[in-house]
Amino acid sequence: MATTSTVKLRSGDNEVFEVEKQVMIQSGTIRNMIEDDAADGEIPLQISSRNLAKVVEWCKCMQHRDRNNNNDNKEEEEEEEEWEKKFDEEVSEDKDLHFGLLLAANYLEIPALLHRLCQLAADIVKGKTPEEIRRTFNIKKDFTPEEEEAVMDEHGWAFHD
Amino acid sequence: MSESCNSRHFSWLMKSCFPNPHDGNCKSSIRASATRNHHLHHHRQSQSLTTSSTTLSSLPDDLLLECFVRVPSDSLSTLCFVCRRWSRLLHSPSFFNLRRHQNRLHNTVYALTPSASGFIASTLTFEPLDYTIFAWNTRIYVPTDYVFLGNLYEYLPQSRLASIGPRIFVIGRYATLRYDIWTDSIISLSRMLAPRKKFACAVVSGKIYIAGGSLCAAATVDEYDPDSNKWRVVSRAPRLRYGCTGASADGVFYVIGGLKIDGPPTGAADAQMYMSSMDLYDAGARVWLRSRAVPGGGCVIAACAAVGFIYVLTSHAVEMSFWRFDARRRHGGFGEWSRMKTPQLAQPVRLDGSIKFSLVGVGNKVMLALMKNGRVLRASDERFVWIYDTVAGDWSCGPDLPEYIPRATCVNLEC
Repeated sequence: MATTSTVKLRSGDNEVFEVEKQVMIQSGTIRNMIEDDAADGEIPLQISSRNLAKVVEWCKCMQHRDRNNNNDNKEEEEEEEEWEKKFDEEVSEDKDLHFGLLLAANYLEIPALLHRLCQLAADIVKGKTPEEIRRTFNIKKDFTPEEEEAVMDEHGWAFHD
Repeated sequence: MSESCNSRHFSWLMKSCFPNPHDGNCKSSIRASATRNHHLHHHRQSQSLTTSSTTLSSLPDDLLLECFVRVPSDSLSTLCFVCRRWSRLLHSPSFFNLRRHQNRLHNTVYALTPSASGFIASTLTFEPLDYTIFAWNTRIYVPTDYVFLGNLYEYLPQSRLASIGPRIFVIGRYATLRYDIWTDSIISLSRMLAPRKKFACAVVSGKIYIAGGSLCAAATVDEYDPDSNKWRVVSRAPRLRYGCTGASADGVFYVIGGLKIDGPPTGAADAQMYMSSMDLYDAGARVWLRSRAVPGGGCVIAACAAVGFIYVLTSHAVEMSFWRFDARRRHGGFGEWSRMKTPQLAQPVRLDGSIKFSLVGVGNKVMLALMKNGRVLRASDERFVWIYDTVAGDWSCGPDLPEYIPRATCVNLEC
């Protein structure tokens, strides 16, 4: 069994994060390593320190919330909600962070974080016109002229109910 | 694929990985990762001068689909217009399966009827899980003139409909059309190999199968592949049926009922045998299974598949009977017939051919629509819609079809 209660994560840009194992077992990938006793050294991750810091912060907050789930501490509850709201806002406004985190959550196997980030992406996309979506995410319109003519008549009735 | 739609960033990220926990050789991994860090450092530096380096398009297909699946159904159609990659993903079987898995699929019955300038689509949506229904919604579709539609008014009632995801395939003698309810567009596809009329049609594993109904072509089963837009002959049918119905369950294409039009005219018993039986074609194995006959005889007037069963409505001159065939092949009951409750129609329906019966499987429900064929209707009592609950085993009255759709052809869309 593991000897220490913490795990060291090394980011892609060589920053080391020492985090409680209890916090990081939310990541399926790291949990497997801890269970296999392979987490005693530093774990090199190809995730930027900025994204990794965010992932760790998120995991800490979630663990804190789960631990306090039975407590009726209104103040803490509000604090957590405030943190989550801020997290959503920050992520929604910074695409590099949003999708960098999304890839990291997938890589580290943190389903709850992955779900949240995918939901945020869906919320951004929803209600926008195709042109707005393309502009938001810097996507090139690459339909052939035939497809464009047959299917993509954006000014026609295609967008009317 | 456009530069903005690739997943290079991701594969670069994914290729870097943990040391294998089983080999314990951490040093080399760390060294390898340091080289990559160098790369990362440069990458980030150059990117920070311009825009963000990771965006929605950097996601690989599976993660992009995870985002799409959380978009509300009514916004999905918009996403199809963004770029080719998105359109392809949204129409992919993976996306369909993901939505099915998360109970996000809606069943919507489309009743298409021709109008002077295009067609009218009346829709009845079944809510996910509890299949609650409200009323029919109707919209008129006026196709733009760059698509050859022929004479839709004559064409549509004789066509068969098939659906794959958000797309309805209208398969007729001289043309095949595809109506995409998300992009609200219609396009013309390859037409069938030989003209057929009153044939059987069903979808098995994303491909469309047709059989029977042919007047001059050989008695074949033809397969349409929507990806390649090609038809091909896959088998010779044991019987040539005209006016037959198609259904599919558990990988089998059922060709049901119809009149005998192959071989020399034979006795009434032989003709009766065609009307009350079905041929089973295993589309995956490309073999015919033993044909089955409806126990009570009679003439099959409508059939459909629902939750692993084939439901068949037969007519016996003045009365009807309703049967269920167990089509679950890896199940002990395969091939068993059970007689089910017959819908108690408010007044006797004359089974003289002037009434058109449609059975449509919708999740665990079966919808029966009765329409007077090709004539203007007198009163609403001739536009019955009945819903059969396969769990409770009982019929209830459904919302009436709008009055102006006497010649509708129905299909269920699961998307």
